[in-house]
Amino acid sequence: MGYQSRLKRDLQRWQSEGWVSQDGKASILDDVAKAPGGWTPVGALAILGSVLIALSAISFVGANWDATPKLLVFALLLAVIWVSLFAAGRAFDCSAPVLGHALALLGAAMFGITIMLTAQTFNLSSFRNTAVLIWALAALAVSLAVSSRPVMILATLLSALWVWLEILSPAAPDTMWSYALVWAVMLGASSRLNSSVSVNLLGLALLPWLINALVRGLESLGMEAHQIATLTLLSFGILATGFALLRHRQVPTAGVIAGWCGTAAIIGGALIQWPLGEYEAFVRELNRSDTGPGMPNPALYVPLALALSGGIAAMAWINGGGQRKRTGLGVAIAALTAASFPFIVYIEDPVVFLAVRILFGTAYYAFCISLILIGTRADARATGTLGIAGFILHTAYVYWDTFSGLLTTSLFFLTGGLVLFGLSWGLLKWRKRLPTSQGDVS
Amino acid sequence: MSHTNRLLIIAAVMTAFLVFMLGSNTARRAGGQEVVLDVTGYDPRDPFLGHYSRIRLDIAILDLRDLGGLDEIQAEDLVYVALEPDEAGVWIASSLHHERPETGPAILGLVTSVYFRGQADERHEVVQIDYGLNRYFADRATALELDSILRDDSRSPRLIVSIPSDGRALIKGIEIDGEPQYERLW
Repeated sequence: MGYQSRLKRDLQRWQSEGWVSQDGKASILDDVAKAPGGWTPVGALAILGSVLIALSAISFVGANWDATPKLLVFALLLAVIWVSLFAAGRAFDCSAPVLGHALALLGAAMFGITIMLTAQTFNLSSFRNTAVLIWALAALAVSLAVSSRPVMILATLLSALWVWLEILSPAAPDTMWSYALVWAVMLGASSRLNSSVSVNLLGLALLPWLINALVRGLESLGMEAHQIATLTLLSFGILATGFALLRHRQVPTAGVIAGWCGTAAIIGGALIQWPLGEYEAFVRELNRSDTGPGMPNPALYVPLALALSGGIAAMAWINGGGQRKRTGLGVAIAALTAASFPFIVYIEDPVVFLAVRILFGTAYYAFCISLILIGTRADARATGTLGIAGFILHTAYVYWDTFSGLLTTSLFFLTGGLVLFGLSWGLLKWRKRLPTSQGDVS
Repeated sequence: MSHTNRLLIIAAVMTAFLVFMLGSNTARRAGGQEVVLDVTGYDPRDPFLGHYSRIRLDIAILDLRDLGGLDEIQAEDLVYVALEPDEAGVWIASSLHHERPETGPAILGLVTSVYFRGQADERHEVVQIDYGLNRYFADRATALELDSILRDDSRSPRLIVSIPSDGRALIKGIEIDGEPQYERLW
């Protein structure tokens, strides 16, 4: 049963209970009807058909290479673009949007296929992949012209393909900062079209691109792996809190990006702690001979890490609603602890090292609890879920690291399972007892 | 504005871009200096793309002992390879430069790797360069013929290349047993 059918059924019940008036029910149904429709089997079939037609164009040219004059092939490909886009326009103008989306997708796909086949037919080549970017922008233009979310998804995928082709190309710059602009344009368009698939794809594409860009950029500044890991983690943190702030201010789809960046920050926060045991041995072996007299480039690292931490804490405080003091403090402690993480490499005393390691874990728990507190708000459940996930992830790690060599396998898993069940139950009970904030940020 | 008109404007812009892409490449190919280069390769077939030969120019691997010009060279450098004809009329590399030489044809390439060959006194640097000319698309008959020629050591297929003033080479055709077959628009 679709959303609208479910809503209609529920509204009927709510009206009979006297909770919703007849006019209110009609207004709600009108509003839902105006919203863009979801996935339908008919639309999926039409779009699949357009993909197959596009593939047939490629294979037709491949199979009839020598039988057709080259310029005629070029003209035929142009004709397919024109016919597809014209027919798409007519379909939208005649109120047949399902067909219109499929044909618009075919037209946008054919543009890229024509670029590719023309380059092959006439043996053209290039060091760079700018044609893929042009294809992505053309698909974006088509999607905006007819408000087509399927074409928007194609544009999003193509923009991600472009940046990865460029990253892998030795002819392109090592760090493709220009994708930030392309990404922002795609996000704006996806938000305008209310395309949750595109926004999620953009969130997903952001993670490896930003990691790659920061790693290469910070490496070129002479920073070491532990500094780069920390700054990357803090960058995801500031993006997560920034987009969460935008979401709180009703910017559409910002919450999705906040969710992806938050996930990266949670997992990153856990991951950077896991090799700490190995760091201890590494530090002894290294004896700081390779790293010089101290941390490389502190004049850049320290202000950068402090600025990021301060930004994260400030935005977490604003986002915290009724729990702002507790959440702001928890996130600030976690961010500052993460910022100080690279200094652990320079601790030689094993006792101090262990104490600092426990402090890191504690700060991570504080961070997760802060997220759970934010998640008590009705509009921030996902943040709370992330906090619980991080809490369980880190507990599992601590348990593994502490008891894996002490218990037999079955007892280890049994105890671990019971510990996690107990923690989950305790967290849920605790969260339910917390007052639910209305999210007032004033 | 109706949806149809909006999409027709986009179709016109797409067409303009494609015609510009084809036209500018055709003009550059026609206006560049023609050189003939030795190639080796093999012939794969792609179910979507039709027939093409994956080719490797002989000047893709250069021994720095034999060349003038640059002493310092690194992977990912863009370099100009100056060309000069040998006795057989095939163009070979003569020197490497970061800037385009003022005289003679020079082809722009991207250094993909720099490595050493030999030992002790014989140790010397070798560079591998990508000119963006790695595939030659052809009709089925030409591709099959090229395939057999590429496998036959006694025959030497050559690539006819046009080098415009910016050094970015374009394939102009292929020469089989001394017979040139030029790319054509029609």
